[in-house]
Amino acid sequence: MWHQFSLNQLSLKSKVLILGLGLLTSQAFANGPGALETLETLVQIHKTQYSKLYKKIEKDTKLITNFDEISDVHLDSYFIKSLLFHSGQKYLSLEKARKDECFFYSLIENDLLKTAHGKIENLIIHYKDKKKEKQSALVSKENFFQLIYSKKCFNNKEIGTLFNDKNVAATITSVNFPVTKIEKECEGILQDWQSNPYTPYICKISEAEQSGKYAEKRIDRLSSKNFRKKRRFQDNIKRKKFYSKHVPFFQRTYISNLCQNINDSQKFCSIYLAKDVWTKILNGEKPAYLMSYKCKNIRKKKNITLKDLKACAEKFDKEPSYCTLNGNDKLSSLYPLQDCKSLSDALNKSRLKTNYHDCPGRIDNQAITNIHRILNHITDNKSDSSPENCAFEANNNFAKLNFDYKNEKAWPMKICYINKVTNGEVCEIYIPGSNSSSKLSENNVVAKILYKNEGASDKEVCKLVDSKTYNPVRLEFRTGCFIIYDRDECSTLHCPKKVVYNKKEIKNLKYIGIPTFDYFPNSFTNEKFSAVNILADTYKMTRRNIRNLTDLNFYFKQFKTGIVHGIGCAEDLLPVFFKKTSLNSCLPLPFIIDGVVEKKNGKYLVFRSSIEDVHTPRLMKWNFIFSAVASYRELHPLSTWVLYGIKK
Amino acid sequence: MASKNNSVILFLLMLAMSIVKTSALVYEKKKELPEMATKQAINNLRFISKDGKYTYYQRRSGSLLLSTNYKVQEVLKGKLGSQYLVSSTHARKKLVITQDENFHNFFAIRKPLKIYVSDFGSLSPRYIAAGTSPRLHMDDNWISWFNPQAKVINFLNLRNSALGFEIRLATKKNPYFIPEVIMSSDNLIYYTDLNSKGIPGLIEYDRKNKKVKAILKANAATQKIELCLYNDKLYIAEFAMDSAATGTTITMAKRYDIDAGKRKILYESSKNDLGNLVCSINESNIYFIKNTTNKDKNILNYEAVQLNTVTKTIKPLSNVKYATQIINMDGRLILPYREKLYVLLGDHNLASIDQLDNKKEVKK
Repeated sequence: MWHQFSLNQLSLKSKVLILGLGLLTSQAFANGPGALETLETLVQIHKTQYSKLYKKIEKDTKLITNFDEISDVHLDSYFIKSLLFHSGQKYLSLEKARKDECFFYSLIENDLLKTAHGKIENLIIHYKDKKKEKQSALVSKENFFQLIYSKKCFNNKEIGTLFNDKNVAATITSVNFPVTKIEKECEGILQDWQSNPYTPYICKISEAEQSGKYAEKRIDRLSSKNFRKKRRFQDNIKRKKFYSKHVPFFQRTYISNLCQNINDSQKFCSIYLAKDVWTKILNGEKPAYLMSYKCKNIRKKKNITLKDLKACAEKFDKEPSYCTLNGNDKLSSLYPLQDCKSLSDALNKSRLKTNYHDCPGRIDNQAITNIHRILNHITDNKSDSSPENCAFEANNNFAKLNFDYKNEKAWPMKICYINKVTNGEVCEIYIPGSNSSSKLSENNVVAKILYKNEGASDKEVCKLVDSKTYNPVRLEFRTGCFIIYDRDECSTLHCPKKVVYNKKEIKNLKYIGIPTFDYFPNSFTNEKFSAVNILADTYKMTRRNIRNLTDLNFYFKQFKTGIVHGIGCAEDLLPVFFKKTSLNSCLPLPFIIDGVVEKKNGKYLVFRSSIEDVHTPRLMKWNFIFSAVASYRELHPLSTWVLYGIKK
Repeated sequence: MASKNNSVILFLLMLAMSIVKTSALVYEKKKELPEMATKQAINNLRFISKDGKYTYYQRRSGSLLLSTNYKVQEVLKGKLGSQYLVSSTHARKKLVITQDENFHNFFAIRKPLKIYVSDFGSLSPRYIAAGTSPRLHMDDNWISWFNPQAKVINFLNLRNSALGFEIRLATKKNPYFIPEVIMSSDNLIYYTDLNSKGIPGLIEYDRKNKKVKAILKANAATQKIELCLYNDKLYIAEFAMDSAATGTTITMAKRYDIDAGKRKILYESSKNDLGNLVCSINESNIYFIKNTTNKDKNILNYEAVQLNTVTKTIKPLSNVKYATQIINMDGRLILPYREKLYVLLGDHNLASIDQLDNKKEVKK
């Protein structure tokens, strides 16, 4: 029964199919080429016909100047057909291009449409002359637009002026390029662009960039005899460089995405709805420093290019575990690091300005590292940090803060020597590390001591050299002043050093002092000179005690640049690294919180302890922070809850 | 009529059952962990012996004090705000005391502390050296400590101070790495180290023959190895530190014959437990912080648990959700959590112990 039923059904379908096919076939044979011919063939046929027409009308090339005598100007239908066949669908599919003549003209004006002959240099037009007789002509593009804009589409002329070479930089800066993470809003933004009269002028920039890139790749492969093409490529490259210079990176990226995907909302929106921070950095939505320092470290380069950043982003995206082991080489910090996925989640919500790369493992007093980070955030400082100067940067920042506040006792680090003249001990303040411009940097202080005590020249410059690099046999080390140390075994407290001047070891130098100070006030008498008070006074900062997660959330919502800092026991903050073996054991660890990430299983805080890499924040539950700060409060002399939001 | 009665009875039965169940739940919720009760403020406490006879506590003035038999005497004096830590082993012969005179104004995880050793109840601790992570070994006859800057583990015989040696670590990757150290015998030492890629390993140092041998290597740099020795059992635990490397393995080996391949597996888990192993309380159990996150809810949860080394069963000991550390204080297992000290094993009411002693004294 079922079989009979199915067969009957199939038979009916088959009948319909056969009938349909039969009709189509009969139609095809009845109409000739067109119905069943491939598009390729059609295009080829048209190209031939167009070329014939073009050749014929080329004899009638005109320069029309008497605009007032001309009327009823319109483009030849074959010319339009050629535009339809040979231009990218993305622009022609726009509704405004189909309905708005002026918009259509602006597409031609900005080289967004093409004919069978490629880029439009001349247009085939028809018009009525002063005698009202129909005429046809081939006119240059420039002439055509002079003619058209004298009669209609006056707005186009004005917009063209805004986007000419003289004004394009200023115009682009004034145009709003909106971005959103919400899909519906993003679709709305694209729809606005599709009907915006500026769009063809903006997309000219994108097309120029594309042509320029194409030309850069191919110009070297051109035969030397192909002058015309070479000249064209050179022009394209020149245009690309012009726009690179005058249009900022974010706008260029935005424009490129807009114009490549002008008719595809999904593709246009995908990069803004992208969740990973690496993509956002590449498209200019997030600052480059969130990735550039890590990338520089991984690729072992002093300067990195966009190509390097793209390679790093791809690596981080495809290999999440890569970030746990890479990114802090020679910039000593807690190891292993975080995986790329959780790092991306954290950096997405992070607000701490980190345009530098410090080395916490080389600074023993973690409070100095934390203050260095807070200072860099407040002052938005940028530095080309390196393993050679990272320790100096942090120490100098802290020392300077105290010297400016007339609190010299917070920086007791000195190099002492026996003055050969007076036979008395003399001590000079120094900051560990090398820096040519700072008088207090270790290398300059040692040079000064050698000048005073060892008869060295006042122009003598001391160099800090890793013991693995130092070799007295080599010519470069035979004369001069060298401070030799083992970089792998060097921090504030412990850094065995040898000072050698003209191959002779200087033995009577003594390094003394360790920087001890109150981070938060430990007593009422010394409250003024606690580090947080000095920061607040110097930079006019306000602070607020943070007691719970609601407080913290509200603080971040209220103050967009505010961050939170505090001290907690490392055994509670990082229990996987540190273990308690005694009652009331606590390793006080300063930290910074600069964001909140909402996940399905709760809220996580963007957390950076002062012993971890500054570019590797971790996601931490509030409960662990609460426990850690509570444990430290138990031991604090004033029983203070040391967790504060701070802002300028 | 009968069916109507039956329905009523059934309804009442169901109601009764739900009340009982709710009560049970309520009872369970209300069951709290025993808090340590002492005469001293708990934030001043540093050590209480098993029998409660000796209590070490510190004062803001910088002194470490010993209270015993209602007498309070100063053990060590330091600068204002000095921080002390006191620990012991199950041998119960010596105490290790560390003194940090810059606890509140120099925050450095690697800073060297003054290390002292003292007999139980003694008022004359002996200064040993400056360093971190001091440990007693071999029936409290040896002490080891770590110098994190030089990356050297130092050993000193407490009976004969002329006997001492050191082991230099290879680690360069993690400046905050703290090695696990076990003395299996006077000549055989087990410790953890990191290789050039930061991958932890268990190393055997034969002091007599001056030979170093790698016993075990972790799978990834995102793992840690913990060691714990109790009598003739050496517990070796591998914990993952990151979602990239997952899982925990706790094994047991013989103290005098550690063969990585012949270890007995006591516990395995696919979740990343925190670790912080404690093993020297009793013969058949070890304790650590376990990841008890519910798979469905996926909300992070950590609790202190007991692992029976014979039956290999796990028993939860805490219910605080975010436990991070457990401490063995002379046989008492303590969970420090948010300004409170919960006693998971052992007597928690220590306020009354001294009184009993006093009564005995008076009777005498």
